[in-house]
Amino acid sequence: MGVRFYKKRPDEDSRPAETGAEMKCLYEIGRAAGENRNVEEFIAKATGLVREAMPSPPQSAVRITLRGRVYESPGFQAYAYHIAEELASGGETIGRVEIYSGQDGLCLKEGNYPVKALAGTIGSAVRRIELEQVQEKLIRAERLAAVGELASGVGHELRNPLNVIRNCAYLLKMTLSEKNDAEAIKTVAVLDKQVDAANRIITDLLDFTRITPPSPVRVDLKTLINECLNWITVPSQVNVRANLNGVAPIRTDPEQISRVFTNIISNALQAMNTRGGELDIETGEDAGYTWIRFRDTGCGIATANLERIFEPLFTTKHKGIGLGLAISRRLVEENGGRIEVESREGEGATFTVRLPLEKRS
Amino acid sequence: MNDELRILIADDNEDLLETFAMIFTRRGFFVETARNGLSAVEKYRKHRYDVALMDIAMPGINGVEASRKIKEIDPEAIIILMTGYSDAALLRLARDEGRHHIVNKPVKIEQLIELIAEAAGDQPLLVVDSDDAQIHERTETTIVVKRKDEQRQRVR
Repeated sequence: MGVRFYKKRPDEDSRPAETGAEMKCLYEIGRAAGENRNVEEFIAKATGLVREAMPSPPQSAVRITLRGRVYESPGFQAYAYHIAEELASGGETIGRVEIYSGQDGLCLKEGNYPVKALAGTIGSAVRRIELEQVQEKLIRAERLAAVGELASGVGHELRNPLNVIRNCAYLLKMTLSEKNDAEAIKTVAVLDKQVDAANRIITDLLDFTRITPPSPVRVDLKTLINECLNWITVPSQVNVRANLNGVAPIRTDPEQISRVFTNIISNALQAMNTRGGELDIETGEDAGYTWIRFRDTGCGIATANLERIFEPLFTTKHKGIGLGLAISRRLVEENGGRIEVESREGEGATFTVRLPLEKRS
Repeated sequence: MNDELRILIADDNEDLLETFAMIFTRRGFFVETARNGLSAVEKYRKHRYDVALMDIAMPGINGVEASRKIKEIDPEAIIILMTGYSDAALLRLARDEGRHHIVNKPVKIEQLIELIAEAAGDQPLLVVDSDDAQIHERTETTIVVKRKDEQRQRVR
């Protein structure tokens, strides 16, 4: 960027401003904003980009503070000379950009134009990403709501015929019982059992689409994950290794989050069902978040499907209706976190759930 | 009126109405049916029933409204509402009123009959096993609900 807050040497006096690097940096930041769907990743990248645009990157450091969270360029050092500019988004101050340099002659002039332009670009990029996120969330919520409406309508329509089938089975059973036909009675019992099975699908569909606002309480993740593991039957060919020590309790909705964990674990087990494999569950803390990582050695996810697995009604399984991950993402987001996936077909998958360490204001 | 329990069944699904009627008739009830809420209320105005089994979502007067009107006619009426979970708001209303029982469709007959036996509990009842015990599956108890003046007892 060639931020011109260095004192000009006498021979530089008449030279035009070094605008090439500045323009390139602003352009790169704009591009990074377009490529990154979440603010954290974008800001982390921006710190590096700004540092690279400095006349001497090895002796420079950048710190961006956004809504109380601090992002620093790799190997951050608070060098002796620095300049700061406020970050604004939609007229509201959302943080600040600080640039440090170890070089002599740094002129920390307030209102330095390139730094102002830089802060402006970052601020509007943050606003754009956040608006896009809100929009995406709304679209997803709308889509889920549509699925929910459909499910509830279809569910009701199906429950009446199911009830008629059950009644008919009951009447048949009464008649057959009088005739003492054990085999026929057994057949009718199967009919009744299948009515239950069909009804369970409807119930699942309805439960999955009815999401209530989270009720956060203090939750120990180790206990929560172990409870989830107790609920699930792990096939003998799968080895589950859980390393869950050292994370502080967080405030979250245990019921909703355990639904998310159970869903991710079940998916992992299904992905390893034929060949067997290993599921590693780890927890850790990083930049205001607690993360929980589920890494399996299963069949993995095709690149083309990675974008779609969180969409409602998208599934590649023979069984199931494709709501698990859609609901999981919504539940995690409702609890202030996010869910990420990394996978390659045939090479397993890693799901990471990030939940805020403290309740956000 | 004999010692049969009198049941009024209301549902807009005719097959459902008919099969419920057949089941309850065979289980020894006196059965009357209605195809909508209004008709159920009208029938209740003319006769008294020991229990009313009604769908929540019916055209015209829904189950909750019908239940309210029936309670006006007979505050002691025992009402069981059936729901397919279609209308969350209606279901919430039904739960909030709390003056009737709610069962989920597809209704399990044995559980429904137990519920009727319990709900009609403040009326003298005799609940006994069906004559032919071997005709039903081991796990289920077949109950015939009959009115009896002095006592209510259940024999399995």
